[in-house]
Amino acid sequence: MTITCPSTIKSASQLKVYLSWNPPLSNGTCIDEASVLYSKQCKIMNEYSGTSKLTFLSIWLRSISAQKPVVITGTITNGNQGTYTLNATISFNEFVYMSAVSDSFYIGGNAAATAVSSSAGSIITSTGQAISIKSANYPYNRLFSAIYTFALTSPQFVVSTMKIEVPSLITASSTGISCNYNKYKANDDYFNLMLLQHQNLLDC
Amino acid sequence: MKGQTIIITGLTPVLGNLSSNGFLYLAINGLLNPQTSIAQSNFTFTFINTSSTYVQAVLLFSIPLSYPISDAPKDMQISGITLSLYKYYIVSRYTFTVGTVNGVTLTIPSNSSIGVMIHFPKEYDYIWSQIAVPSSLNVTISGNTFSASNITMSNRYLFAVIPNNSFNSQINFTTFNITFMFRNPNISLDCTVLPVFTLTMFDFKSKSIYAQTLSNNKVCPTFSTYLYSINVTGNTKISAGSFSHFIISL
Repeated sequence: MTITCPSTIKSASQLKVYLSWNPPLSNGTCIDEASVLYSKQCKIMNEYSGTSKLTFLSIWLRSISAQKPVVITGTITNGNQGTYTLNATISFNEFVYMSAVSDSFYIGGNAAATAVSSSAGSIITSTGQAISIKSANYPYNRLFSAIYTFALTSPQFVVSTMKIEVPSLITASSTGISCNYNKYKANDDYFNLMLLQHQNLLDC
Repeated sequence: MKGQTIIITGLTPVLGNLSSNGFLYLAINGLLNPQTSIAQSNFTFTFINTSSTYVQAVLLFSIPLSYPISDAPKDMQISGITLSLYKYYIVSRYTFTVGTVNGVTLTIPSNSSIGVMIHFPKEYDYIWSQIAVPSSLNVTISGNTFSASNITMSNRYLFAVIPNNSFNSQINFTTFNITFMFRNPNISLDCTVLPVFTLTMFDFKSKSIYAQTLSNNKVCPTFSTYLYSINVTGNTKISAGSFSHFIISL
């Protein structure tokens, strides 16, 4: 996990990395080792972020400089299957300067493994279980029927269906919606998407 | 789409062929853009496995995404459609004459990347597969002609992109013509279904429709079964043993 502090932060002393998951789980037994994140909640590490109880890794640093990437390498001990996120906060004297949330990732088993960014990682990899989404709408015009695109990475496990819940501001046009998939193109345009909209149809 | 939920099925073979570091495009056509830009709002994605004994949501996450919104397109109206030939099923030169509504001025800044999109009436469906993609499409504005470099067709749409190096300086205008070769349908158009033709001008730089013809556009060409008009002029009375000149004009 790499964090870059914004320039508004001149310096800070404490970096905390939380591990949260969905659905929430009951307390488990933890090993008292500060450098390890656990996917079972630890009785000895009770701390709340919002309404969620989190396991955290607390790192004390003399100074965290603005605009300088801070790379955190840790080990996650798997305990439960579920969807996880890492939440990093940078603070000083209990005042939180910054909070950043990672992409979600999925842990499929209870075997211990090191969180690595290589594709050889069996549990968490940057290109494996982690999911990334890019989105765009074509065209931009107000209250206009448009093509919304979602570019997503492979989840690396069996998925047959995807449910997308969109904000209430976005609705279906009077003619309804249709869905299709295509090869990702970084700088696509409206005409190309219109040409492809009847190919590779998906039920939706 | 039910409420705010879209459920896309049949993803197993699609995602199965995706490389671990590749992206796949899912496109949802027909969502209505909001009134204002969405600077950041949560979209929730749930990946579901229906192949196991029990349906399982294997991954759920919310992502704040943003969607920009631009102004509604400016209004245009087709004032005329002229064909070089009106016979059914024949290839003809189409000339659309288009103007703005209430004298509104359209502006194309220099180095703009503009596209023209024409939607044809449903009667063209019957011969759509037999219509060749036009080799050229010209847009004439104030005596200057701009040629499209990339022309494509799909499902009664004609798409033509005018290269951005075509517009060396800003152009202000209220009317323009579009000309291209196209095959006529083999049946008459139902001119009561409005709009008969729709013409759209797209701005690729702003990813927005710049101007579009109104939904009540009713300019509708009438096709016929004959190929040419033949006019014969000359004497109506010819005396026996004399000769006379006749002029036959097409």
